Amino acid sequence: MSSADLVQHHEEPEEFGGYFIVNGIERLIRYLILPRRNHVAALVRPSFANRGPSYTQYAVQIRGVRPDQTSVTNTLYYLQNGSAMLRFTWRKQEFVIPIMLILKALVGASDREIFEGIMMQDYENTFLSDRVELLLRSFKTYEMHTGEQCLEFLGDKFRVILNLPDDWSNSAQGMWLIQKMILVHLESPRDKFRMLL
Amino acid sequence: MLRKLYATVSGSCCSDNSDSPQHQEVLLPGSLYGMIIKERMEEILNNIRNNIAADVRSGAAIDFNDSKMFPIRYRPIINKLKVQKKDILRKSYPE
Repeated sequence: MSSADLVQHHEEPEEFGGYFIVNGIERLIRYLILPRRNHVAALVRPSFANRGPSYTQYAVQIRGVRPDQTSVTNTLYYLQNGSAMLRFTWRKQEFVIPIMLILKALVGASDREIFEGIMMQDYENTFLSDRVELLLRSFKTYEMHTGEQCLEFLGDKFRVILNLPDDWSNSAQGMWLIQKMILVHLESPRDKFRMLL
Repeated sequence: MLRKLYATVSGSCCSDNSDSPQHQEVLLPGSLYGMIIKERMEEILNNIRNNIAADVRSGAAIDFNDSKMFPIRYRPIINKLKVQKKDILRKSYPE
């Protein structure tokens, strides 16, 4: 509306809306805002470095939304040794898992698959290839080679927290964890894997 | 995500401004309401499950095929649901 129209409707000429008087009390309508859904945002915050030893200020964050509109925020932190940690929240508690563990558990990816997936033919980029190499090498200390082993490891560690039926196997619990907690907007493990790379 | 993370670290990609509307969306009342209800329902279902598990473990004489048993036995939890439902409404729509 133009200024003249606004005045005609008994509003101020500079009125931009969202401001009301209800029963003599001033009221302001304002939206509640959230991070954009299913969208990866790069963050640089010095406070990230205080999360623990070898954490840096760099992270990427995504808020995945399920079909029922509930959401889970996953944050991927960069570590000084070139690898990364994935964070999710479950029952108001935070958990951080090495990204390699998730990648392997999702699709049982081989090191080559992960390397090629991240490099995306950009072999000239030595910064990237160095990090990926470090990422792959640092995971060797876990001595887990197959996706099944990773799932079992996850299930074993999270069994107490998830509170699932006791007779579920470790790998079933690990599968459930990944399905419900990581990139919840994607259905298939393969899609989650691609998104993480 | 990993690719973007490494790009950010190397400086070939700058950090996103989370204050810009480009990286925001509006939380709608229905979604908020749904989130709260889902959380409460989960809580209540878990409570009922724990009660049943405790009953089974203690060997209480319960016939799970008896349709009257359930409302009587787990009435407290069901009542709690009702109270919480009122609570949620009050919190979501004050006045």
